Amino acid sequence: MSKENDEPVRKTYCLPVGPQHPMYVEAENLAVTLDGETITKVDVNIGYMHRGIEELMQKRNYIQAIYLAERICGICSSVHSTTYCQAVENLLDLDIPERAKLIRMVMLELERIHSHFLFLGLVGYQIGLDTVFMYSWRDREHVMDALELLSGNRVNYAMSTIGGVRRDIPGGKLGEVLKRLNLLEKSVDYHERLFRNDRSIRARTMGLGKLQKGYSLDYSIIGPVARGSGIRTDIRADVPYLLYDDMDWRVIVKDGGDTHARVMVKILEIRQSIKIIRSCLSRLARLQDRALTVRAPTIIAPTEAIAVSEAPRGELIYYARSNGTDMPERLRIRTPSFMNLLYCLPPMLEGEQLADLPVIVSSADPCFSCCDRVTLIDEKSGSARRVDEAWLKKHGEGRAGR
Amino acid sequence: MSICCREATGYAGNMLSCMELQTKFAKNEQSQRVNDMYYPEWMKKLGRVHREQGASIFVEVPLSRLEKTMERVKRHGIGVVNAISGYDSGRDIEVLYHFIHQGIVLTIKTRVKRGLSAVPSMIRLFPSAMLFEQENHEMLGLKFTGNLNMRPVLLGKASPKTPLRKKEIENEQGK
Repeated sequence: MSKENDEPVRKTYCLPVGPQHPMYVEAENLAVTLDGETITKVDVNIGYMHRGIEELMQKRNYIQAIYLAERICGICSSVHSTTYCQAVENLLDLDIPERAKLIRMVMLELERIHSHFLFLGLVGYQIGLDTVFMYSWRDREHVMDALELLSGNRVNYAMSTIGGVRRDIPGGKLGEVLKRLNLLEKSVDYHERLFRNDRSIRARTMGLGKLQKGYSLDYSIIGPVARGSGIRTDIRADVPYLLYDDMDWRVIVKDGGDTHARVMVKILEIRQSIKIIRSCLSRLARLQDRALTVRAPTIIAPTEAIAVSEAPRGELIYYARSNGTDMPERLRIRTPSFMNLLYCLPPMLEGEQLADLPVIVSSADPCFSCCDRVTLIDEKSGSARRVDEAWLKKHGEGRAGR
Repeated sequence: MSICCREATGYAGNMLSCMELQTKFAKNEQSQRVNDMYYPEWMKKLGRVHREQGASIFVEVPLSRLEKTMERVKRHGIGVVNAISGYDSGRDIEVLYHFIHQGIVLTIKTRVKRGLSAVPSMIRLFPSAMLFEQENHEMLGLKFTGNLNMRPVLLGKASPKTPLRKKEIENEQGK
């Protein structure tokens, strides 16, 4: 309060959302400045999960680095290991057998379905519809079962290796995967109807978190977030890798630019992924060549290469450089969330209501929500003080960021 | 497609013979298609092309020509830089700008002297370069003239400074 006169001074709150997150294993921090309930400024702080993996990979040989790459992300683990293997294969100018390409595609697309179902559940949860969360995560179990059936694991599949894949998909398992795809297809139909027609969902998603097409183009927004803003960008179509250009599928684009458009893009993409997997499985069943790998040298002459792929959240880039030993000289990884998190959240959130923050943030598919403490900034004096969750709860704002 | 990696590395143990590899490549249509990759002429004229592999092309330009090269890239309809990588080679620091355009991954590389470490910022041409420049500043200590936002992105206060710089070389130079 001003000491000179009795006029109240507008006090803005800086509300840190994160860094601890109750849903994902990732930790991020959003410093949200509020004017009342309206978000005026968003400052995204990342780095809480920085593990120095690039440097760690440079201290291991090419085979060991596959396992590190796989552990960069728990949800999109397969796309990391596959793109890393592609980068090393590009260093060697090595082409892998057709069967290996098809198996990699099956794994990548199953992973995309798993990631998208997970996303749908989280959006439902943030809207406040726990039933949607439970239904979508129940149906996600079908794809998790399929992944476990093929790889023996629900998370880190360890399928890709340099020169191909480590395991075949035997004929007996093809039918089992197809059965699960049928169940998933019904689930997609249900979720599509639900997200298109449900009044509560439409009210909480339509027109919220708008991201303009021009901004997305300037700031290299990628993946489903960009496709929800009317930009036709998908590495599977733009720089086709594996056998994506031989498959019958299409890039899903929505013009809305809002939360609803981003959700619908993901729902419709699941159907395209199912289509791709079916094509891959039928080709695998017909394919005579049983080769899974071509042997790759463990020592690579000094050169450089780049591999790009479409992860569930957008384009993933691996730049690799060899030095004539069995260890990479330099590996640089550009993950999709790095772009989407830091560039698209501020314009999406500014001007929106605090209550809509979790839904909008979820629609961009990064990871955070829970508020652990609040920093109060007095605009007049510029002083800041931090309060903990107990203080928040006491003052009735404990649920603000959840 | 080069398959002579064995000769290049002198490693003969764990690999197929060149003949076997050739047969495998010949069988595969994909490898044939990648071979015929078309790189636009303007990309080849940007600077010294030092590698063409699959859909990616690597072009090297001197630091003095970097800005003009980027302006040319922009004029050809590339609006965003998809990533900027940095690499400390020991002698100098390489800065690599990756662009994805019409099915081609174009990489423009330039070299900066270790002591100098200043590169003109590209945020004027490509706003998305901001984050990458911050990241490279943080990891390699590169300075980007024109970019005033050099706030740390990934590292904390207690993290080692410029972790991707080759420390042994700096120690030798007494830095």
